[in-house]
Amino acid sequence: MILSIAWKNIWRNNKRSMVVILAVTLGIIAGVLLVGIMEGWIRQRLDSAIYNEVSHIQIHNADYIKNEEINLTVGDLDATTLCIASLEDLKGWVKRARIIAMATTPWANTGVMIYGVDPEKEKHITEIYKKIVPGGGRYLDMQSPGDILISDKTAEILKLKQYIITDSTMESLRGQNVPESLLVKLGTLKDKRFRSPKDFKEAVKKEFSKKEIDRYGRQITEKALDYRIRNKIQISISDRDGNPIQGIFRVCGIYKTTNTGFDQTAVFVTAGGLQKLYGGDEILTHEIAILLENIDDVNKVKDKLSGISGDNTVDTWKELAPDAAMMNDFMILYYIIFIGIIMLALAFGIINTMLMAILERTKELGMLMAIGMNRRRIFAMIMFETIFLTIVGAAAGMLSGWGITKILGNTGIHFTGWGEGMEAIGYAARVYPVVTVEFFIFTVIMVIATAIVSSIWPARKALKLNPVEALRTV
Amino acid sequence: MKRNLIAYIGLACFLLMIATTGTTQSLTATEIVRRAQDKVNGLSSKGTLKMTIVRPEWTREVTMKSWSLGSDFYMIYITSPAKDAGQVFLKRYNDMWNWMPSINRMIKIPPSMMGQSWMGSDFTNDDLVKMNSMVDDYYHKITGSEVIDGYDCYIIEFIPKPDAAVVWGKILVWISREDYYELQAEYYDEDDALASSMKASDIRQMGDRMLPSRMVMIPWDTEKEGYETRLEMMDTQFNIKIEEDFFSQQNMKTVR
Repeated sequence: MILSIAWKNIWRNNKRSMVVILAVTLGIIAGVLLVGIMEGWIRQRLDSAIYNEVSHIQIHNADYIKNEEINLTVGDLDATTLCIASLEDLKGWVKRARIIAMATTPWANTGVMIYGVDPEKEKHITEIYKKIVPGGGRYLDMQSPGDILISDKTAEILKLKQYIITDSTMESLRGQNVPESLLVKLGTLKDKRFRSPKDFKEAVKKEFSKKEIDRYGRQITEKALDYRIRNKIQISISDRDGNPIQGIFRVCGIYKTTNTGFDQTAVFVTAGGLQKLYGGDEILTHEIAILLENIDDVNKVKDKLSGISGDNTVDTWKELAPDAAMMNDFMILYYIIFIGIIMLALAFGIINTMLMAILERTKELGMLMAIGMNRRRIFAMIMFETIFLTIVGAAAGMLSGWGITKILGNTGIHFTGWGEGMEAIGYAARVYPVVTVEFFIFTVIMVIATAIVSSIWPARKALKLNPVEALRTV
Repeated sequence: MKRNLIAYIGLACFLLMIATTGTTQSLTATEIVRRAQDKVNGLSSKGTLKMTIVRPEWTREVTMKSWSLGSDFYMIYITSPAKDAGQVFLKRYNDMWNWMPSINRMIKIPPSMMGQSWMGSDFTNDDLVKMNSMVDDYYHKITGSEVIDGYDCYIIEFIPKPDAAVVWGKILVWISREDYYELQAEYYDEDDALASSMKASDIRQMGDRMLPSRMVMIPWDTEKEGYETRLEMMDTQFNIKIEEDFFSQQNMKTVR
């Protein structure tokens, strides 16, 4: 009875109610989107950290963590691997060599971390093989131990990225509807090689107007980019006796993850290829990476492994990628802050509207009291009105917010201008927002709480009315 | 940049040297290279060097004293500028150490630091240490001849052997027909683009022999326009008496 009266009351002043509902709707959409983007970002970072970089659990020699030396291999390898093999709920595990090295090309050199991996097994643990850039060759394979896989960033540092306009570049640009007049101008740069993006951009700038560059610059740069696959890279490491040794690897592929920091250092070769360089008859294992079926099991599995590991340290992804772990743990705090602020702002709007409604309906409320409607019912009626207003808005907001994030979740939002900066700290430039069920439940609770809190003041005000006086008001 | 530079710095090895025996006719390319190199192997020296680093905005001069024994040992003592004076670099076989008196520390240069520029020049630490054998790591071919500074030179093409740990695609070296001076070298990447070049000049009497006394290193990188490093031998003695144990960490701290 009270419920239906309250519901009908809302629609007595359509416009005012719609304004409040709309405000709530927009507020909730903004909240859902913001949190969706944050959540999307953090998840992408988390996925990238786990599936490209650190897996769920890693085992190292305890001293290796402090001092990454070639001789500090995982201790008791046989016992450790036996124990890992006996674990349940494992998606997979893999052994790697991991050595600090210097990579040199004729043009430049840089310090890198070289991983000696088993390419086939590695594919079950890390997704680097899926991250090969277009035109960037292929992943490692067992048959070619002289190959090396480097990142787009490393290729740039080592000047293995060049820009060159060839006939086939022109052809594919023509296929993309680039006007003929531009192609003619581009012809003047043909077959010239530019070893850095800066040089190429400057050359292009000389030929084209600003408008043309804005429109086609990106296409041209993309098409002109040419990775120098099969080029030589010289790798220098210290062997087991501390003597510097050098070897030559040839680039087989270029990968790119969303974390430039990781890309900049990690290069991959086959375990056999690396062993040939450091010599000896055994393949060294500096790192064991384990992927679980369920991320929530990490602590359980860590405890089990720590028991048998002896001199080794067992680390979970939270210890190995603390930045991702921190963001993940703080997510709930972000929910509370974002939604809290939005709700607080909305609460004032709702209170204001309801106070107005009561002022307007003083005579009516007096009448209801006079004919015997008790105070509890009056209070309930006002409260329900407030709650309905809020919930209608919230429902509309969540529905459309969900719809928008679903769409954006498929297409992604590309933060072009800031991409480089964000990738430098490990976050993707293209974000795919996600909203979780937990988030919706959380929002519903927040909305109801807001509605109740903001209904108290108007409802109390209604209670304080004196029926006789109220009746007399105009 | 990277090359078997030891030579420059550890003196004398690289280019050069001594008038020889050699009839000039019908030597194989490898034999020519071997003769140019053989002259320096096992040579000991002591001298003063001036290195001039040229950059588009500034130039800087570093003077140093150096001692060397063959290609496996050398020691360099920086005498100016004041900021770096007193620093000592020691190379023994494949290892390199740096003594910094200002912080009273001895540093063994790790592989990860090998790529860094040596004293801000166009040489890297690695250039000083690395010993690719110009004879064993390459196939050699005479591809022509050219007159450089009045010296009739063979142009010899060095192609790295498949297993050699060499980054270059090829190297061209100009070696004079007489006396086997290495007067010029050009380093190419695998796409046949010139990456850097070295020129030697000013051959004069130094100690008991004739040697090119100036060398210029130019990186051919578009981002490094106007970069070069010049090396000048001020006075140098060869075939001096110096023992292997002169090149020790203890001696680094006391050498002057």
